[in-house]
Amino acid sequence: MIFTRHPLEHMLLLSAVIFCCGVYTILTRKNAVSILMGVELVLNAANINFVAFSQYTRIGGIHGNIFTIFVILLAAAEAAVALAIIIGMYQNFGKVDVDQADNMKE
Amino acid sequence: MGASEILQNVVFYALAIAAIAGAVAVATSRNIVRSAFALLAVLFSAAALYAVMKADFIAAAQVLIYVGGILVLIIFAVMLTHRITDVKLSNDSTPGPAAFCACLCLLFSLIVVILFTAKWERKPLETRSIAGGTEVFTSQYQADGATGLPRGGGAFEGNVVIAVRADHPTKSIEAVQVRAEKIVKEEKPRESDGDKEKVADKPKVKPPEVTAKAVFQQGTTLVRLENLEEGEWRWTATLRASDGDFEIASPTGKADFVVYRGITEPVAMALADPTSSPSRWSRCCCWRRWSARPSSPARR
Repeated sequence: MIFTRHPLEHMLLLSAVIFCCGVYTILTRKNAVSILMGVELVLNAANINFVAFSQYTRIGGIHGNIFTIFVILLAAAEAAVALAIIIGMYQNFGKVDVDQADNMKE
Repeated sequence: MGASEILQNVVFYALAIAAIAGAVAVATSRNIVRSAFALLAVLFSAAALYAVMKADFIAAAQVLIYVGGILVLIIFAVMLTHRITDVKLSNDSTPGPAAFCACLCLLFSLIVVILFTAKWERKPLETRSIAGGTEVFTSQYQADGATGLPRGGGAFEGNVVIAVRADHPTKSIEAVQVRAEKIVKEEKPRESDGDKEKVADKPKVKPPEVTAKAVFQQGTTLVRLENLEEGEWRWTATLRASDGDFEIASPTGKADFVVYRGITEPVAMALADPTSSPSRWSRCCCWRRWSARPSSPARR
């Protein structure tokens, strides 16, 4: 299998690997900023899938590209909000580990 | 394989290696600043991959928004929330076997689905040719007009759709005509028969052919070939312009597609794309049907 013969499969496999790295990051990290990086990896894998499907399947057109722009803007908004929360957490608790943010438990 | 194809492959594999290495570094690095810069590598190679996939606007947006906005924000957050002196131990993780196994299972199931289960509706590879000074792209589809039919692939009904696309015609093209001709193999006279002359005297049978015509349209013109016999077929398209006809030469001397009739759908899907892996998968299950394939005596 080489890329120019099966471009769609190659792109999908690549994004599957990136997606799994993102999921592993989300599962194992304690640091909230690292978890955010994992989320960015997952979103990027989804974007690569969108563009690959719109380019390499016949009924593609430009739909996939529009979805990709939507996801990129969503990720930007999400990063801004998440980092505001993280910095607020740091000012209140002095730490950014997610397993220590259990104030609402009691 | 042409030079541009080789270049495309090399660029893709280099970018893929960079992206995967970056993603693994994000997931495993002990230093959070290193993780952030590995994320930079992933984002940049994703942008380059969009450019490879001809989505140049997305590539620019990726660089501007992700690299220029989100990543800078993340690095700022890292610098604000950690004392820069103890940044070395800042990226705690709990790498348990459960998380690792879960991710491996996820990856395995994704790979199985991508390679073996799903039938992607592929865009058939277009062939570029020049006819009368105009750049013309031709491709072929199954009878439904949506499923691609690669060169040399199998059509599992008697109908095939030929797509002709000329984006900037230099002539005023009125119609597109496609003439398909069945490839008839010459039968060799048997030695044991003894009467060779009788065979030679046989009148040459004209190979069956099918002609179809369609009005030229801006964008893609679809020409439908109907009621094709079982066997190997080769086709040539002709552009009918106001000042003469221009023939699009067939790129290969081999058959453009092979028609099979009266076979079940899984076998047909397996034959439709002889190079894809699902075909190998189902070829094992249906070897009996496969061995009855009329066109390839070498496989039998």
